[in-house]
Amino acid sequence: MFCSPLFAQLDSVQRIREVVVTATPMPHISQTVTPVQVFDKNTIQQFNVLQLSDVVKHFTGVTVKDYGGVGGLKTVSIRGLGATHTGVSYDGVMMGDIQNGQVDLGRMNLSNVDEVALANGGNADCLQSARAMAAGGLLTVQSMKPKLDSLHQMRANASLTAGSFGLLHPAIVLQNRLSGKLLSSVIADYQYTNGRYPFDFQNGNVLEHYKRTNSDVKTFHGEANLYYQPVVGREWTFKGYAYTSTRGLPGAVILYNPLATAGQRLWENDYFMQLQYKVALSSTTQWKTSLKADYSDTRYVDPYFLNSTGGLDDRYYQQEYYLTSSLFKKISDRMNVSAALDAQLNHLTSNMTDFPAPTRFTGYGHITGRYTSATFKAECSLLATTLTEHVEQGPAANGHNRLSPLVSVAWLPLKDDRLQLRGFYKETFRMPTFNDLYYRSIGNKDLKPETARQWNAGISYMKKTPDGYLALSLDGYYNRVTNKIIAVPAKDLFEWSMLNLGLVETTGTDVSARGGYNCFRSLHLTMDVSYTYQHAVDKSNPANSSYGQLIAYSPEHSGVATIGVLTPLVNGSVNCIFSGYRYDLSHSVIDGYAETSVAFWRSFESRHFTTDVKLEVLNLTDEQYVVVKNYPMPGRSWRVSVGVKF
Amino acid sequence: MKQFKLFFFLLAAAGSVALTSCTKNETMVVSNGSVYVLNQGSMNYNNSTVTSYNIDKATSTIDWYKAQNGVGLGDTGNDMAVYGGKIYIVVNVSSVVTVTDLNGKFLKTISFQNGNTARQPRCIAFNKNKAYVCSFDGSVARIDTTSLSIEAYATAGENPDGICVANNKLYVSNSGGLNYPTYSNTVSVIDIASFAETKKITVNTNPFTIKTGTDGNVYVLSHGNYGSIASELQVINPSTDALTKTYSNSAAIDFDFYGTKILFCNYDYSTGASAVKTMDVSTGTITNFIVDGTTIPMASGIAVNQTNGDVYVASAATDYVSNGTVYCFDSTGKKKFTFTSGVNPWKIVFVR
Repeated sequence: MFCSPLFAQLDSVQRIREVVVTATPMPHISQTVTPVQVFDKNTIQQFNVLQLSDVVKHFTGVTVKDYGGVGGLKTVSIRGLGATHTGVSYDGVMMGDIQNGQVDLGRMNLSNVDEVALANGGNADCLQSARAMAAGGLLTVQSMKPKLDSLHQMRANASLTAGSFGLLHPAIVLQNRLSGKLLSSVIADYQYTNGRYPFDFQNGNVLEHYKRTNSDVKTFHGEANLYYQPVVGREWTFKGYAYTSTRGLPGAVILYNPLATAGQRLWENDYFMQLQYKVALSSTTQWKTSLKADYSDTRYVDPYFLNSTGGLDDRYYQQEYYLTSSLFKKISDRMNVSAALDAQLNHLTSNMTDFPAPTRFTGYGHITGRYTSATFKAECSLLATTLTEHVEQGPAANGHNRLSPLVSVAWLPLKDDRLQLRGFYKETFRMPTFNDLYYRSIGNKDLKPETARQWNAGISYMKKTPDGYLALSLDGYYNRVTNKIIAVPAKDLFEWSMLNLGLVETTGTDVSARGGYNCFRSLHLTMDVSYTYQHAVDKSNPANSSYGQLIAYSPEHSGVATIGVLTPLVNGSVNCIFSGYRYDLSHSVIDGYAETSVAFWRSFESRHFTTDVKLEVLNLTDEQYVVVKNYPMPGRSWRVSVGVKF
Repeated sequence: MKQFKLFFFLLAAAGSVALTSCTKNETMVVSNGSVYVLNQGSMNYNNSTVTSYNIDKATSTIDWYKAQNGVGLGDTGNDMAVYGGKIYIVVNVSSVVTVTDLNGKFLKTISFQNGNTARQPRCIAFNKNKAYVCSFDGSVARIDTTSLSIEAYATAGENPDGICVANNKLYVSNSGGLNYPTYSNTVSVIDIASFAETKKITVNTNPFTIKTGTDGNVYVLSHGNYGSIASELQVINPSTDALTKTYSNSAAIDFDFYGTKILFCNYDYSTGASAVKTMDVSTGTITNFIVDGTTIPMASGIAVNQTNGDVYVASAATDYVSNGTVYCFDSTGKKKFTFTSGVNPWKIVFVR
């Protein structure tokens, strides 16, 4: 709904929904004032997914930039805003990377994910942090809470996925009741692939065949969660998280130089702890507070870089401390307000000489008022951000104070959520990242924040029958990103600098249709089709040839389609991801592509445990394509997983 | 680097080729030949190209190498020269020197590898049927121009970015560019006979383009540090290997010789303005070259057609990723014509 009910009630709502899910998965797309797209784990099961970026590709209006393979960087841009405007929240707390401003979606594993949602404007969560409000678009990932009852004091799910290019992915999830009111879950998963996939490369008139090298990746992800609910309406959650990875960076395919892919490697570690407390203070008031401490480091090595020290070995160490507190108060049946205060401290150090070692303090505060009647909903929000920066060496960037408004309205002519007309205006900004400000000679400490203004108007319609549902939505939008931070050559062609030179205007349309239908007692069909028209145009400088042209890597036409057939014998799905032509950074056309994958899966129930088996063929037609110029994507491959749970 | 001096060599050594091309065009007695422009392209885009422009017909082929060979040139071409009836193209990121005939038809690719390291060749010079290629890894390779294979390596300084021949010695400018911000400030002198470095001459920070002048002296352009240390053109006497002169106000991106003059171009990133100037070699007096008000968007290279004194100025597009333009001026600084090149035009050579 417009704003989620008190969470004591929410639990029961979710429980009801879950019962429904097994028969007819219910979509959320038409239930919110601002467009929110949600995939729950049953829907995700129908996609061909290994990591979070694979799920995100199924959302409408997003552009996933993918450097290819399991280890290639994957970032998501929503409605042409650019990846740095996308916020990512994991179990209610924001993730961040202050160094380059974008979270690598390849990092997020799906072993224990319950739900993935993408919100373009506001978010359905009444207790949302102020920092989440500050993102142009918000990707939320919710992990599964332990589902234990008197018969199951402990549950376990062990799975093993194997596939082409040496893919091996064991994962284990353990849920346990430590005491009557204390639950725990432990997740551990490991992933390896050698990444040596073959690809075609068109060199003039000659189609050359190569194999990707130095594309291996090894990751480990472990998590421990504690859930403590002393009384109904009061809940503590704790998460300890560890991620570590090592990978080769194969780089762009360079003609005639097989050594170009060799040598460069990246190590990443990320450890954080977060503690969250939620309480219903009264029947009309809820309060939530979260605390997070995060340490991450990155090591980049290029042994073949031709400097005097015999290569590059750059190390970066990041720390983040974050506190958020939010309050929800229901004033009347029609009126409620939310407010949140956040404080965030980031620090970056490096092994490089003369590194400025910046520290940034960001304070956020937001207040939101909502009005809800049977036929009309409105939400007004104001976010205040204050930011100061200190460096240990050299000059620091300026501080900033900003106000960012959000207004959204919805009209429900049928007095329920069957038909909804909606609109919103949202203004956000993103601060220059530490790389933008301080990275070697490229950084520019005088950068201003990049501002994003979004206008959206849409309509959604949902029809439910006992046998199924159909949900349709159509949104049109206009976005304007000003002071866009772009790199331009500043001293010579090899020495670039960051400047606030860009202006990007995006007009677009998102169309989606989702449905499910029980044909017979035992045959269930699902459909999820969406199409995005996105005209993201560079309006920076009329003197440039790129003026008025599509920005790089932003297709005008893209879409996804998933058809699922669920039967007692076997479940099957077909996924198709389509993208039209795009331009690369040199305004050359990159051809469009369509990648089709299929999956078959079923569960075998026995007395004590359930065995899940899934077989996938990815890129069935062996489509040879790139998302990013000279970074080839894998062709046809397969994956098989077996999971046992009790 | 030395394409213009080589041009004379070419006239003598490969005159028969020029005659052949004349006979193809029955109506013309003397051909003015072609201009070949090496375009860097964008790094990691494999879109380095050679543009050919036929002066008589006023026609151009932007990606002439691909038109002649059906495949791309590679990534980030940095130098091109003509010697002994062959075109040598130094392709930096692809780490190769590609050799073609004068029609651009592929003859051989010479790979520059050292174990697992790509040497990254930068510039080429010639002497007595040998080609000398300096690479970012600090090496100078000697290539036999008949077998087109590498015979030996010598060692220069850090990240060499220019090479020329004078007085039976190689002069290699050590930029140290990959040690930013600690640039180098030396020119290595390599004795051709022993093929070993004999000394390092200290010059202004970040030496780059190095050429032998019409007077036999070595002219080296240092870029400075783009801040407190300015870009300057300096002279080395190859008899004494002493730095004999530094020209003031000579900030440049590229330069070439014509008689007793140096023509140089510059692009000022802070003002966004290009300049093309003429300097008297002996007095150092500098005057503006362009007299008809033509403005160059982003000057990146300059070359003088020694047969008639026409000056060609290459200009990148202001967005650095679109096709560039080559401007031709007569010797008095009036624009004659322009043609479109590939992305980021960099080196210009003439073939008759």
